Amino acid sequence: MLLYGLDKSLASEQGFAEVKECLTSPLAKFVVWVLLSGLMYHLTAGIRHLIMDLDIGVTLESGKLGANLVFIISAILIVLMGVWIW
Amino acid sequence: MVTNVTNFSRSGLYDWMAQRVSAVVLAVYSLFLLGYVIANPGMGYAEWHGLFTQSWMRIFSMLSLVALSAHAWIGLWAVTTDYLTPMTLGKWATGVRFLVQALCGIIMFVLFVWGVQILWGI
Repeated sequence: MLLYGLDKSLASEQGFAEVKECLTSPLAKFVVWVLLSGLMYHLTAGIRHLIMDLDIGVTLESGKLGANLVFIISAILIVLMGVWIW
Repeated sequence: MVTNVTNFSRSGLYDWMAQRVSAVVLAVYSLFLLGYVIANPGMGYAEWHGLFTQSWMRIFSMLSLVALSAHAWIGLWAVTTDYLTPMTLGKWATGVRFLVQALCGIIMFVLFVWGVQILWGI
């Protein structure tokens, strides 16, 4: 779906306008927001994973803190994505 | 027992490393693209098209597409070998897992080739 959008938006000026037009609909905005939300959560949790590979935050205490931080940070990012989209 | 014949590189250590390197590439690429779109509100076709015709952007996009394919394969391999096992599915587990992995592989391959076509077609 995203590739289709990329394909169309790059193929021609008209295609770009169509994609842009399509993205103004509430449903399309919602779909993009859901996809970005998944990406933001995955990204935050992934960065935590890399930090834990460095042996940081691997105790029970700090592990819980890290997990909570991922929830909080990704929630903030997801809200920000929503603000940007709408 | 789950035998190790479908993983990305036949080596857990190499898979581990590939997953992390591709993760960093994908993080940089997605943050860049998102930042670019946010920084250019009301962007027109010329600018969007111009970005993707530059050599560095094509190389960057290709790199990310390769990274995405490897990252997705290693990630889904981990998920399928964790959850599609004899413990959850009984004696058909190996067959089911193989079919799911084959399906994922075909989808990834199609998306990869399509992505190359888009990047090279413009």
